[in-house]
Amino acid sequence: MLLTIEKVLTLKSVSIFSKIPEESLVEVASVLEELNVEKGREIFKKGDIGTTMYIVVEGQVCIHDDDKILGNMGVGAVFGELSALDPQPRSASVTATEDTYLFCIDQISLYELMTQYTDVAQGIIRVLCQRVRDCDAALLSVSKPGV
Amino acid sequence: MVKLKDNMAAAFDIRPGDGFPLVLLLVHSFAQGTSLIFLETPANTFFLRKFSVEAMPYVYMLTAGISTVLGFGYAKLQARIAPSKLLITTLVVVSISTAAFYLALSVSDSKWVVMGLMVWKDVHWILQGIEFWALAGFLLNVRQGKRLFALVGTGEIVASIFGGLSVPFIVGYLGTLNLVLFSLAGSVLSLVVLVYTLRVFAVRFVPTEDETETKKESKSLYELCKEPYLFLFFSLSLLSYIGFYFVDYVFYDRVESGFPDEQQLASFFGIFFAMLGVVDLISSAFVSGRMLTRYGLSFGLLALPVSIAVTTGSAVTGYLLFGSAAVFLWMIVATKLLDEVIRSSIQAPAFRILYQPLPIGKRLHTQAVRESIVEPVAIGLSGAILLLLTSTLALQAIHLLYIVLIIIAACIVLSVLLRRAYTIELTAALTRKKRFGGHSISMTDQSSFDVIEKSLESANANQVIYCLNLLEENEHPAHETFLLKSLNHTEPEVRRYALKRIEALRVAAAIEPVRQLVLSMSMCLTPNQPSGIEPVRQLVLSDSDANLRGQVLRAMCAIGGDEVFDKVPAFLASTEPEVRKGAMVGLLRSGGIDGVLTAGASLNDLLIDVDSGERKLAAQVLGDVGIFNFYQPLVKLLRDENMEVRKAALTAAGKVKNLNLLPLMLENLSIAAVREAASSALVNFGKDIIPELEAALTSKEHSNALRIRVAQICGRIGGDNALAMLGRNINLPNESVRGHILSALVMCKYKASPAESSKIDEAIKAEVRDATWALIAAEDIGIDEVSDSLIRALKHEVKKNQERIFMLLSFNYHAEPILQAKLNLETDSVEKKAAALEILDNLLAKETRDMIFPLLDDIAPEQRLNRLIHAFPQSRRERAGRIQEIICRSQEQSTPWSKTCALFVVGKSRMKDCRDGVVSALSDTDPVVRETAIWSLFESDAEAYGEHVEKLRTDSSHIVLRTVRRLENAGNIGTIKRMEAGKTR
Repeated sequence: MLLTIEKVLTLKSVSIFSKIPEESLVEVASVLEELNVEKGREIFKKGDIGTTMYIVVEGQVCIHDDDKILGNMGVGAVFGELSALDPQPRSASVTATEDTYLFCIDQISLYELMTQYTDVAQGIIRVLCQRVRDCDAALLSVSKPGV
Repeated sequence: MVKLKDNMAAAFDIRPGDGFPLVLLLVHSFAQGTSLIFLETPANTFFLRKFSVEAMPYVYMLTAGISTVLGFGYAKLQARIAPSKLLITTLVVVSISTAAFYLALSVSDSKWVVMGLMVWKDVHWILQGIEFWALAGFLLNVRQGKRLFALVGTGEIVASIFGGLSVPFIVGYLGTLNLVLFSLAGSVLSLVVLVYTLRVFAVRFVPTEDETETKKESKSLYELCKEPYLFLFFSLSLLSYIGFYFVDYVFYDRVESGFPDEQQLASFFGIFFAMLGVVDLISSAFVSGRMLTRYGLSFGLLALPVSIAVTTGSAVTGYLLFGSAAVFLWMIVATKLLDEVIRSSIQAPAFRILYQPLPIGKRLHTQAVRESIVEPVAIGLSGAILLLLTSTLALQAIHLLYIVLIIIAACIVLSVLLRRAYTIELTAALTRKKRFGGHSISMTDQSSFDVIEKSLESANANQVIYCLNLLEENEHPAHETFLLKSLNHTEPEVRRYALKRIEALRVAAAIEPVRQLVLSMSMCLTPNQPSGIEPVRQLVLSDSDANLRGQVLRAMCAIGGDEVFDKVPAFLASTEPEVRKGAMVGLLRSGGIDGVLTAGASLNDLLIDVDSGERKLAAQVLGDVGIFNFYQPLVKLLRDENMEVRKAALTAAGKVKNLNLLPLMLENLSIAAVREAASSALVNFGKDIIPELEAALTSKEHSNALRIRVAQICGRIGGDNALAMLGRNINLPNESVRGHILSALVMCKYKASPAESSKIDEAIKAEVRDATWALIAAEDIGIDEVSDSLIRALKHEVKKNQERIFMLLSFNYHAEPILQAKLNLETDSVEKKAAALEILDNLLAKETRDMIFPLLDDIAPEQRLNRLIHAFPQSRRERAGRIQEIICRSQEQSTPWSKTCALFVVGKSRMKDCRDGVVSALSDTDPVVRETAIWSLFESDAEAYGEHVEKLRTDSSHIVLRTVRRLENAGNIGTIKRMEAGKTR
């Protein structure tokens, strides 16, 4: 378990919060939940309804659709933000591939932050754009296997 | 070596980023100075050998004529070719012409070639000047220009001094004609330096899109003179030059009389020009840049006319009182010396600054017009006027000085006007924006209506709604007709909008279609699926949006009369919440007492329903009904355990606007989940709740977060009452709350009255003092891995100070350029930052400028601190003492976050020296500070932790309690480990 200041310093190192003054991240740090997940344990399943966004503080997680691995995420990575923004069934499953320590931020806190700080909204948009680009790249590689 | 470099930089006010362009410009200037001095000397010598002095006026006339023609040609070229190519072309022409004169003089002894050279040397000087100052304008931004324009020109002065001294030796060995070869070498060197400069700084010569447009629209002198700013600029240039030639004439007249002997005359000129060079060098290198930076453009424009007025006035007074020719002569010499020095070292750089607000393309064009048309015209005009006054009217030197005084008076007036125009021009350049929209569309003509009518047929919902709005705003007779037509629109959004307006405006003509829709819905209530219904009804039934059906019922209640009670009550039992809501709202709002009696029971059921969705629906109904006295049910809902219900209740409270609900709404402002809804609802109350909001804002019982929200709400409400209230509380001690009050005032476009202005100045002073403290504290603590977050926190405090300073400035000055300057300073663009500082330099009062500039200016951190400490003395402290000070500072002076970071440093470094401060922080009002303090005590002083932990075991904050439990566990584990280790031993 971390002190509030340690949580703030950790949040500051995550891309979507990097431009927000640390002072303002105190509020996020005070509402976020901490979650320890053992290696091999599923964090959520594809199809689950969720309203929580996760940040990897320690360890690593794997994004997968049944046995098909879509990617791995390490320290500082953000996942689940789509459901936090617009609660829908999760589009993929996530499982810890190491003992993992996560921060969880629910939809209300996230919306509150986005209302107060345009930087957070911009950070989220950046993450979403990156996801779209990754998808585009993946599609491109599938459609042009020779390239 | 490094120290020498630093000292040189400090002496010449050279800052990081100035160095390389400065060196290039100095070399360039030196090369041009060499070219000039070695062309001028043979030109004068050959001319005096071939012609007498009486021929000089013809040289002036020809120079003016050729320069003017060249000016027109240059302006045309400027409009056609890129700036970089134009600069190169200029120097190529200068070099080729010099080579041509050398060849011509080598093969011919014609006096016309000599006359040509005499005329060309001035053209040569003008062309070089245009090229060099245009290049300097590209390389240096407006702030650098103020500091360095005078300095970069010193290369030419140095070349003149050394070149002049070397002339006798060169002539002795190589002859006069070969001086022209040295001139050619200087021209070629300046061309090489130019090409290199253009390559290194290529990006600065690429015109932007706007500038390209401007370039294509290059205007004639007449057109440029239509712009007030340029008219003033050209007028001042013209008069200033005429003044110069008048003084010049008087100077030669007096010197000729004072030194009849040729040797004395030559000696006098030698000493005079040497002295002129030295004074000019000192002034350009050390004085003018600093004076321009310190006193600004006003000084740059007024220094020359005021100085000449003083010396000319003294000369005239001395002559009239004593009649002494000697005193008169030396006063005229002093006038000439000042005129030459101030003109080149102060006025010329100031004139360069006047180009800066213009876009690059226009800047070059204006410069070319001024220097190649306006100035030659001034030379020619001066000659003609002097000829008239001295030959025809036979005026003496003293009479000419009277005219000089009149010219100077006009120059002073023009300078003042131009200074004001510069600020306006610069402000416009900084805040220039393309504005769209904001115009209301007139509906008075048939063509506008035709466009609207066509748009109403559109499939685009937004377009149709916009047009319906326009018709309603203009109270157009066709509005009702189109509203009814819109009930058939394919987009449900349009149909819903139309129904809402029918309800709000109680459009009786809509009763038939609305009745049909209700009937269709009634058929749906029966188990059998309706068949054969009209397309319009199908539109409602097939629509998945139940809200639309609810809206049908509300419209029906608004226009249906008694018919309502036959048709609507049945829907109170609908399975669709939105339909039930529509029925309830319609009946309660428009059904009179019968309606309330009919729908009231259903509403009561909703209020006490165990299902939160039903209670939420009740809140929505209460809000949509919006009856001021019908607020009691909301009291309960505003305390509902379910946050969605509370949100709906808050929204409803914002519609009902009953002041009895305010305390509960403020309470909800503290809850993150409903904060935004509470804020919006309070904003809806408007100015009536300002007194209650002021009580909340100033109450120490409320948290800072809540008070910040209250300040924001006041800003959103706006209006005179909110402004007055926020203005009263501008000095609230808590800096975070104060910052939000200032933001709210900015949002409301607050302007301080003259009486309040001094209060604002004091607040600015306090902010700068506070920033100085934070900077010195950061310096004392020093950066390392442990203190990194604390240093960032202190720097963030400084940033907040700066933000508040800008907001405060916007209350005392024109807000738009001030806030634009703030945005520009936050960018990474050097140009924008320089422009921002320039606008502040021009807008702010000197005292304010001197106070805040050290905080904003682009200077080294040590220099910044020195300048700030000079104004706001601070004592230095050792690291632990400074950290202790931060921890112990009141919340009004230091943010909780800075304290938290300071406590974190204490814990990480296990510093025992700060024990008292850490113990006092255990009683801080901020839970994060208390949490970090107890951890810090645990880490740094276990004994003290044991003494003080008890009082935090019952802390009101779960954050603190959690940390205390964690530390106790850690402590127990540590004890067990120690015990186990003891057993092992």
